[in-house]
Amino acid sequence: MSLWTLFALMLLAGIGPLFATHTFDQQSLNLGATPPSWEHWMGTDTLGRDLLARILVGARISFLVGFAATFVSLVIGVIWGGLAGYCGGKIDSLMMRIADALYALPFIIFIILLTVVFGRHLLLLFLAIGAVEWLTMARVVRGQVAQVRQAEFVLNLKGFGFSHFRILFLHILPNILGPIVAYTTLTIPSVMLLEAFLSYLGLGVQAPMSSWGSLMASGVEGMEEYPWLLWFPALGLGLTLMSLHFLGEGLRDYLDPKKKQELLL
Amino acid sequence: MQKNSLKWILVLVSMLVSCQGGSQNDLAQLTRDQIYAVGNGSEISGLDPHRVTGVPEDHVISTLFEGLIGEDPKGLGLLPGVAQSWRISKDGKVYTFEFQSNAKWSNGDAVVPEDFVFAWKRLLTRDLGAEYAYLLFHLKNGRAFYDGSLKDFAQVGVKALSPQSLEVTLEHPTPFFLEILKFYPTYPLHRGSIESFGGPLARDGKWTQPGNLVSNGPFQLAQWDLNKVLVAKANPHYWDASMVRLKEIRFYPIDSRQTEERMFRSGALHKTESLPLHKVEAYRSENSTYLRIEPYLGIFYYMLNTAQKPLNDKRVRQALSLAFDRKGFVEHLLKAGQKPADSFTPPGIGRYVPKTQLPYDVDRARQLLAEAGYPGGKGFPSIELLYNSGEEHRTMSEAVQQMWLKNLGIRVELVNQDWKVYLASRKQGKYTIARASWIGDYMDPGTFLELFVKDGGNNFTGWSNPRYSQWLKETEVEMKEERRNALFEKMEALLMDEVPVIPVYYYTRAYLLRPEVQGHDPQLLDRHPAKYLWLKPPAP
Amino acid sequence: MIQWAIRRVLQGVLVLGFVISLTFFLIRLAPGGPFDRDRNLPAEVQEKLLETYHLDQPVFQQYTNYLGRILHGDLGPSFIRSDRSVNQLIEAGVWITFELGVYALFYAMVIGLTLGIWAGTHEGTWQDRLAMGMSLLGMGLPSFLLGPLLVWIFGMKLGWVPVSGWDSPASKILPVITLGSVYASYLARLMRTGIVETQREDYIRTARAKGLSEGAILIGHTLRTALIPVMNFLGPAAAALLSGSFVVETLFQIPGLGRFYVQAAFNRDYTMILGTTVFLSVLVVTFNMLSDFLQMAMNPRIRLQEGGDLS
Repeated sequence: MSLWTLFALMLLAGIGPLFATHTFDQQSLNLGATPPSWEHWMGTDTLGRDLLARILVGARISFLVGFAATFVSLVIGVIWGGLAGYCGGKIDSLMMRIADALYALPFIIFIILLTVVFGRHLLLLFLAIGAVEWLTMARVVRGQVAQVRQAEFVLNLKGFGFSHFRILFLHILPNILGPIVAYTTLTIPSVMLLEAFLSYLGLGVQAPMSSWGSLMASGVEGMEEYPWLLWFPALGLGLTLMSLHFLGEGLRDYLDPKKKQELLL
Repeated sequence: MQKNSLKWILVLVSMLVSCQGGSQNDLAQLTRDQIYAVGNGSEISGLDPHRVTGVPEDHVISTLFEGLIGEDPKGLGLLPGVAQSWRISKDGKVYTFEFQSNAKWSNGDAVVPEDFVFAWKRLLTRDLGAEYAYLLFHLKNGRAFYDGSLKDFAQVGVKALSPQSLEVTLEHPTPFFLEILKFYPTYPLHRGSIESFGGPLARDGKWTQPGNLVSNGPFQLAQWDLNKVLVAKANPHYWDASMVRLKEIRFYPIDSRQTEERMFRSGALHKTESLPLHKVEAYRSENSTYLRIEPYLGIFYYMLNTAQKPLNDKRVRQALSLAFDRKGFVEHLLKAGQKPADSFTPPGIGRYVPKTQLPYDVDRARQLLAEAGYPGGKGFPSIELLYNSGEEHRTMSEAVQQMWLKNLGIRVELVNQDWKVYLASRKQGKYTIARASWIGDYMDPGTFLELFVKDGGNNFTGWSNPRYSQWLKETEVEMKEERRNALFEKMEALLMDEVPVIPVYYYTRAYLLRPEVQGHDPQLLDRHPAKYLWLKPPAP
Repeated sequence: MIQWAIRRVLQGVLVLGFVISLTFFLIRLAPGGPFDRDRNLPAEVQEKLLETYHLDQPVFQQYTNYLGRILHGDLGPSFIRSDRSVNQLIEAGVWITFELGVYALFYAMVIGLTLGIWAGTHEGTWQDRLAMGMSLLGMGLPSFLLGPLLVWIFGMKLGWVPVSGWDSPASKILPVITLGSVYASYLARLMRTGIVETQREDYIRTARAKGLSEGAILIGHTLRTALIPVMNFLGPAAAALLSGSFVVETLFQIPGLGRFYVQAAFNRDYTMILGTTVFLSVLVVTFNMLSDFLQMAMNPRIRLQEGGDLS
């Protein structure tokens, strides 16, 4: 069910803009903000732009940020956590202390500083968000790898003289794919929320592009005058978050019924 | 543990019980008590008149202190302040001020001419690092003392003639000098209290704390809780205390304009500092008596980097200006009574009336663009429009982007930067087009037109013109108002023809004000001296 | 045990050093300095200002000077609020933020644990789904949306509580709810999972077989084990509450540390950014450590693990 909702939303984001009769940046100053009508199904914003078109385009950005940043965190997290878990001992301890140190950084401020220093590129947004999210991923992976490390098949592989690299990435990781996939699915919603929050701080995507986060952030300001500008993007984001969440939980229960609480952190 | 949880439950219960409390300020009661509650923008950075800049600081400091000249609540005149009268010599260089006989500090000490000498010396002391020091570079030897080439302050053009009179000598006849004296960096300071708290150069700011601060204005500092409230109470020693009807002013620093508007609506404030764009429209459509929209001495404009291709071509700059639909921009987007600009200097300064016109002429714009080698925008490089982060700036930039695309067929990329990054980019010339605004400090066209002299500290356009700079020099010594205004007009015309900047609209101030507030008149500089304000409870 | 504790503290100090250094150099990279204004200052004035605050020295020297100063507990003068020192500013804001954080955490625990226990003991029923649906809503509503929404309903429309401020107890309700809801949602999920899992354990089954009442089992056995992950979460959550409160503080006009922090970041008030970072990281590190110690005390088995890496 949630998978289908998600799929439908992504499909809309993907091909929706192709069918729309209005483009996301076509303005009509004389029109201004109007409530939903036949002409504009979700109404228009203060510049007279069609909200539906903007939400569809925004969906693309939101999904893009969600997936890309999660991917960044996945890559860093898996490598870092995998190495730490595989090596164990002093190296493990050191690597996890470094992760701790990063945990201690006040991250909201850190992100503000990052975007301030390096400018406002979409790419940077992924990196900044990914940089926050990989820490937990690394913990999850490390825990899993550390468990599998002592398993019989790994010891056998070592006996055959396979390289450590090969053992870790070709044999151990596929074995713990389940929890990783599940956690990844749960990371996407939190990334999307983080993007919304950055937009609220004025640190989101460059205008005239829109993301659900930036649409919501501007919607909040005019909440009383133009409620539709808030509710439609919020609805889109809400639906997505929920689908992803249920999807993630389902996956997790399916793939690994035991390890539950760690994933929530 | 047991005890603690009991305490917690009590706290919770008391929270719930007091739900009916309503808002923290009962506005009707405040009004009866002549207590004025007002939103004041961001938290002030300090109360030392020499160490701060900014509008919120101006609001507070000018209620606590008073300069030689008083601000006119209705507009443009000069009223007595600490000085009850003044004389200007024939050559316009020597001013003599006679003091009010009963001008007093809030601790009862008399305000004497030495207080001004002390304060002005402090302002001009380089080690203090005062940002407004340059205001007194108009004094004879003021700049020389500041940069250290003159050590003896006695040679600077300010001296006490008697316990009641002060003589000021200027470098040039500066026609707007009295206007500068209304501005808080030139106010007097109480020597005794500053010296007892570490001397004029101490940086810990002890002397500005409540209880320590001695001021000479209609109000005195009573309480100052950062990010919460600053309370000023009427000063009984003020020379014109009988004029002052408010008992107390509460300045609330409020970062979020949405929050401020909600506070006003729930009856916590008499006045807001500002109003979000879309709220202006909402209040206007319901004909609210609270909404105030008043002209303001400021200009919103786009600055162009004339050192960069393709903006180094005057025709391109002219085309951008001609293709700008100022009227549509103001009427359909801003909707707060702003006037489309026809000049860089806003109207309303004395008898200076700028005569330039900035028409909206798309055909002519296209023609100019074609002449510059970009017919229909073909071959025009992608240029960037820089603005500082903020919902409204974003909306405006998006509208401009669309306007130029539609009218000229040129693509503009929007670049949004955090305020400080934006300032740095502008300063280093790392921009092509940037939004900007300029607010006048005092009533003189020079406060706008001096921006564009060669190597001017705020001229980031890369544009300059020797004739322009020469004319500005002449205005500094020209005493005849008509001849001086004619010079300004010539500068204005040159500027509008060369287009290093695209003026868009003259500012208005839009804010909310309760009808109980009396004596609060529109004023071009948006200064509303608290001395003349009072609160009238509505008839029952 | 003692040795482990000492090592943990030493590690904490290292983490602090790293955070301070990173922040120090990072903010110097940010374009625009504390004295850049809309109107440019004359060059000589600008120069003088930089000199006054020792910003004209080489960055590395500034760095060592700064480290020397914080060892003495002096966080320096604020560049923007020229009348105050960073120590004074932190002192002015921290108690309010602390109060807000404590209330929010308390609220989160009461609501979160109640919901979690309720859902966990009714696994698979409509009560479970309702509780988890509420928790999902709480996690999905960002505070910048929840805050204005609550104000609009309870402050403007119903007029029950003030729309801003931090004075009367009534004015504190909305900020606490806005800040605490996300954490309440997380706690509810943690609690539920903990209970559901523990109830499957053998010793609970044994207890049940012995004929103990459900209530007795819940309080006597299940909660004990199920609370461990919750305890684990509290350390980081408490720290996050303290450093993450600035949206709520801005929305509700609360004079707390979070607002000072963000104002400082946007104004490039170097000493204030650093000072608050130092202060907050000390808190974060301490909370994490406490949470570790607490866990250790509650569950001695963990001691056997090398290094004691607990999240």
